[in-house]
Amino acid sequence: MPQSPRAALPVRILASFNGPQTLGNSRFFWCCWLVAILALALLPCFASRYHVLTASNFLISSILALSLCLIWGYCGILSLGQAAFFGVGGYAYGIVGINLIEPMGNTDLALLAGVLAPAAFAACIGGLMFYSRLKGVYVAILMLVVSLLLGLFMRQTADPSYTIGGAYLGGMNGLGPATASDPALPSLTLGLAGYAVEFDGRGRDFYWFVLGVGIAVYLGLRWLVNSSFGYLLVACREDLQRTETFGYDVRLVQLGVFCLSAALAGLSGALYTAWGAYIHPDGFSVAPNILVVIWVAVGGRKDLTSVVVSTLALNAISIELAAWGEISLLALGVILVTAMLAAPEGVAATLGAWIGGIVGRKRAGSATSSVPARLGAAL
Amino acid sequence: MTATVAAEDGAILSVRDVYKVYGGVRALNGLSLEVARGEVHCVVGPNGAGKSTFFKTLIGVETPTSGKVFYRGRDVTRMPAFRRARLGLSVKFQNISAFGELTALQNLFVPLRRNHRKADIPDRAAAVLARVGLAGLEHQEVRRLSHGQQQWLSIGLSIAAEPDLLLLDEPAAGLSAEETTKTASLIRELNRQGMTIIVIEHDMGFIRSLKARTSVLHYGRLFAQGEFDEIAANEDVRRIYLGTA
Amino acid sequence: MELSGQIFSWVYQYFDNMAFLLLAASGLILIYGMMGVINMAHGEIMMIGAYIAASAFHAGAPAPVAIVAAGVGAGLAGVVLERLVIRHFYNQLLSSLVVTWGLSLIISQAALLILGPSIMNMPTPFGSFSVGGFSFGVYRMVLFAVAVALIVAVWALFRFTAFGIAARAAMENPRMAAALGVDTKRIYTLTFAIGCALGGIAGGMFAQTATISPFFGQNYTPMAFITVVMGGSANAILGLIYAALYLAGVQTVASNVFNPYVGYVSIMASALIALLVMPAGISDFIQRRRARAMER
Repeated sequence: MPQSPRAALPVRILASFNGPQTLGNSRFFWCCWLVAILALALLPCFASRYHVLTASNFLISSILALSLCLIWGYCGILSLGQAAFFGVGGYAYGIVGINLIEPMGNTDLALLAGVLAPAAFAACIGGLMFYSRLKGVYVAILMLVVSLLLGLFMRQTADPSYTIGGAYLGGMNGLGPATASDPALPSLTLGLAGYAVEFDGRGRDFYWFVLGVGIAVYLGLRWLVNSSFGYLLVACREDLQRTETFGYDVRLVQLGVFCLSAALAGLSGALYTAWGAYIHPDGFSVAPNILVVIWVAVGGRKDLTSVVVSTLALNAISIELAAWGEISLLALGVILVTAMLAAPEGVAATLGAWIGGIVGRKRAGSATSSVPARLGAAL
Repeated sequence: MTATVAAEDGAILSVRDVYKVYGGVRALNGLSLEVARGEVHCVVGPNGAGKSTFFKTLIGVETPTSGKVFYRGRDVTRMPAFRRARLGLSVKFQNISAFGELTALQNLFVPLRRNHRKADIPDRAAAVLARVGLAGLEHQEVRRLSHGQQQWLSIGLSIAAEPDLLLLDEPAAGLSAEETTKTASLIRELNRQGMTIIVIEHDMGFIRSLKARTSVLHYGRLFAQGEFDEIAANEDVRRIYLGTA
Repeated sequence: MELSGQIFSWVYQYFDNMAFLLLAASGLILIYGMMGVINMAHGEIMMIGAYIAASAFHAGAPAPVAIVAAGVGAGLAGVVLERLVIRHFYNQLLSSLVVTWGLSLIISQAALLILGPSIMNMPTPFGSFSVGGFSFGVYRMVLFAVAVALIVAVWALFRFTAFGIAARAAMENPRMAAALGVDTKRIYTLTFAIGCALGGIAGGMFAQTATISPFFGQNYTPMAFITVVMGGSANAILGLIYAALYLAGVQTVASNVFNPYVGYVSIMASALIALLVMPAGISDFIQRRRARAMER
């Protein structure tokens, strides 16, 4: 709905999160969203400790999924190796954390390293890939190769010489302290002005912290894709060459988005390491890479909300199925292929558009019509 | 943008002795051509004459094997496409080159956001749409527009970038007679407002209605050049179009 | 004697590595080069072939028969996959990448569920010979011969037979081919099936040198992709050969000078560098170089 320039501040803020690049721009949607957030926030009050622990992990996965959604769904760059950045972020957090937890008393710099290291790594690889104008398929496969290579490297670091300060890479045992006197992988400890707050990965506080980070990432990305830069991203997705002829250095656009995506994946990896006090070479293997792609593809790569919903739902399904034996990966594969055949735009996105259509018809014009094409709701 | 601009001797675009070889095929075979500032210049030629390769080397999607391209007096031969666009060179590709999944207004955001604030864009977009005869279709999804409307929107996107030189590749392809006439008058109107326009066309009928200076390409070279009537009267040009040359 | 054995050993390894790449990639290159689909489930197709070959062998079939059975079985699996899934994703390069990756997950996980994590074996035939104190398996040389034979057969099939000409027409211009009476859907199915059959044969061949498990395919997939991607699609078969010649050389040198892990890494790293220098693959690069040479 068009907002007059003099609309109240909250309305204007809300309007900047709305736009044609996302589903769910109506007041009805935001009410549902608020209810969902409230329910998530209250979860630790009635759920068991185990459920809170798993829910934290689901939220961390959602951030990873959003990072892939940004580059694949909005900018058209598919990476089959998104877990590479997740892993680099996790290892960076762990290595810096082990070394700095005692002198600093907090993991602020470790968390920062978990975000910046993958972004810098992405800048190197992405710079090479995009500036040599590599085709999309090749980018997708090369990223998978990069991830597998990192995994291979980490696997053979069992030799005691692989230490960085007090951190020992540890090969198949995962990252750990170099000697008994070095500290273990630290849990997330935020320091500010002399105070330090520790978030135990198994606790409620950690869950709430991750929920807050997740909401911030979600809203930040909604703002980004609905800003005028978002049109540029979508234009790159639709036709790279045509976009360049409008005077945009598309290589730079791709590189920038790629680095941002890597930073978010790294954030997710850092939180994961803090959550389980554990990071392992298997984080770079085929399984985590394919899982991210499944979450995003099944939900609907072109919509942030759909991706979060599907990530949470598919994670829950996997956990439920685990009780039945080793069938969760098989089931996820079947879900992926079925979804791509039946709802190429994504299951959650298709459902969302359908619900939006019903609500929109009731209150003509306030919501959405078809999946990618909603009439300039933000304008 | 600070590089020195050589004296502009009236030619906004100058192509000098350009070769482009693909596999064993010489798509451009020593092509030289000048386009004067402020004119409408048509480039025609039978299939395989090198028209679309010429177009690609102008916009920077392909780099010539040898030879030079000058735009506004500077050498742009190896300049990437986006830099040429920033120098005021705007293009419409042969096929529909609007973003099909977006609405007309969202399409126009892409060229307009480079020079305008977000708040001003809807008004600017409406003005551009009115100029190409699509007033009021802002919220129409592009793939639901008719073929002619999509062609005009593609031209609209190109002029929204406010170019000095507009390159149109087959603007009349697949249009009805009525739509073709409308396209021709749109081109003349834009030219009256000061835009230099190069039209690359296969269809001589459309070129006739533009009544402009015309270059004929044949086997990757400039075959003939002159006002349209001279060209149309030229026996050799007729021959290559009838396929006997 | 010692030196000649060492040199022979290097040459032998080079051909062995090349056979590995050519065999693993042969079916993949066919599907990519002809249909523009990168089949991420190719390794799993090879796994199916390996299981079929081993089962047939243990049921008493002679090894060559078992390998043919592997090809036929994998080809049939290819028909099913193409009919059910792949055909909905032509001309959608990225989607086909994702959907075939999903298929690879389904096939390997289903195999794990049905067959369990236990492994199967086939004996390596033909024994060995020795040169300068080093012992070499004869079978590895047979692998190389088969790899070359398969590549030549594919080339001949598409170059000379009526099917090949119809297939190339269908890939070049589907509408025109259909208008001329070519059943393009059938052509696509058959091409995909032939690609899978090649994968099955490769799986059956490798089954005699490696242990077979549900994750058998994962050992081959990345290498096969690297070879194919590096070869490019401008002239797929020639590109494959160039890529295999080059990558096998890199691997042989790196794994002898350092260790097999470095050999593996150097393959991937050199492919990465090669792609950055030649973004559309070797075959495209060579075509362009030729074009430039002609210009002079």
